[in-house]
Amino acid sequence: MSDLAKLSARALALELRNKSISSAEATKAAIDRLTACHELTNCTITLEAEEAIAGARGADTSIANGSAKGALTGVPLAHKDMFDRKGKIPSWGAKIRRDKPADEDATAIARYRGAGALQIAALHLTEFAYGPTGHNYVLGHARNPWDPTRITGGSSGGTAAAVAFGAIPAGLGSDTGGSLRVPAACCGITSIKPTWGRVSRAGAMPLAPQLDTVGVIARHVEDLALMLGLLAGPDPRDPSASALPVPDYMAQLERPVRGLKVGLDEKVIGEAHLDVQRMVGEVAGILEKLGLVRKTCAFPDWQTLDHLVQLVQLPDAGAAHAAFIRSRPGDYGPQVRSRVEVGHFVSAVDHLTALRARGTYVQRTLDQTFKDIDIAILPILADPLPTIAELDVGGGPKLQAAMGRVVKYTRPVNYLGLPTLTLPVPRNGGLPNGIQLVGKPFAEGLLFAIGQAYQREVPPEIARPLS
Amino acid sequence: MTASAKDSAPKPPAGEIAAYLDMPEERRVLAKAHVAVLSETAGRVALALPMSADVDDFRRVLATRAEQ
Repeated sequence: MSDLAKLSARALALELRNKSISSAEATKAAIDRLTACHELTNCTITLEAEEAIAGARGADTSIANGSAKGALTGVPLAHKDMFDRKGKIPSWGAKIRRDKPADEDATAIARYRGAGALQIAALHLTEFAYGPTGHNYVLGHARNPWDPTRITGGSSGGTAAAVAFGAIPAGLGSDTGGSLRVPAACCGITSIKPTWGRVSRAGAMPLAPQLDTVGVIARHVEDLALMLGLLAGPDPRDPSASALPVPDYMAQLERPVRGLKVGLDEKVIGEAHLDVQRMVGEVAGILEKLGLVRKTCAFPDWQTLDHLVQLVQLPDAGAAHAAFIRSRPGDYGPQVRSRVEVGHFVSAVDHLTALRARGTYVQRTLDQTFKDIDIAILPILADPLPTIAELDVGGGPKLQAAMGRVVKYTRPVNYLGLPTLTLPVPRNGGLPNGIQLVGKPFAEGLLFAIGQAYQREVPPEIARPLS
Repeated sequence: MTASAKDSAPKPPAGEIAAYLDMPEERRVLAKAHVAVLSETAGRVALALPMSADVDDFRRVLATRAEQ
């Protein structure tokens, strides 16, 4: 059991293929562990035990008769509850839901199903995925598996809690302003926010479509590589999904990293809490030990980026909710209601200015910030892991400042659309936190190679190992 | 002032921005103040932006600068 909780999805798939364990056994163990995780963290919205066990038995049969072909055959996963599944109604973490079951699976779900993966549960998210802390005034707040008084981060907090606890090796999330990175950092695990457009958004609940990015949370970087490889690629259902070829990310895991240049923007990093600055320095030191070369770099004015991304996000989300915020305002929790409302106050000219300037800022970032570096390192949280109580600001006057501080280092990167890999900092016995490695467009493979090397120095942990 | 299911704010004056939203005056003031700060940045950015700048530039730059 303890070994199962620590296995990567890739390793578990191998164990299943070798018949050293059955999918039914692995799935039952995952359900038990997820149940325990839920009691501690409120991570689960719907547990789908019977369906999952039936799927596991089918997977065992296909493995036994040699017809199993998928890279994840029989592997139990669970995902943020915002993806369409045929015949089901996703909760969106909200009181307001779609009025009828989905006609087909979201592309991300369909691609994992096609690879043989099972889904054992639908997991907690911030209401409508609109919030970076894991607070949910409709479903109850998510709690961190390392310390239940602390936030999981959001909005993909349920996935992060379940992965960190060792209930599942990996799961889907999404990121509009930090929703894959903040939870991964808070829970001490990894995530990949791909380049905008790398993964289809078809069937994923829209929040701010110009920024929304579907991605993966996992303990092991090798699982991020495996699972992004399954997800990425063009999709007729989503014209924004890139047609660029999908590299073999698994092959890139062992790519040499010695000599790569990592950039630090001291001015931007210097705006974080001193403990966070120290953590960034520690990770940079580990990367240097791996042979990377440390350089300085300078992003475009960070506050300008932060304002521009809000000018995209606020009206984009306001428009996505234009019907419900008029017809059912009382069915929103206080925080999301306030945030959706603000979007209706942004002028169309300011929104379009932010969108028109976006290409210029990406170009400038690549030409200047990335001129002499391969990746940049940034904090994720500006502060040490906050408590649930200190960020319980509802929809009141502290909302914008409190949320803005949480996504200070993440939301500007959504404006640039660049890929980022979250890596946990060494805990040294303390609370988890994380940093992000920002790459050039579609350079996810390089990020994975660096992450794989990093995890040889800082191995994945689970929050509540069985003794 | 926090939002809640029980809010039922008086209608704002005609011509008020987003008058269709059921929100109390205090939240309107906060929303306008926040957006005003963002708008100032938009104005500054707009001054330096060529007329040819296009919303599709973003996707074009990502695709043409791809490094796999």
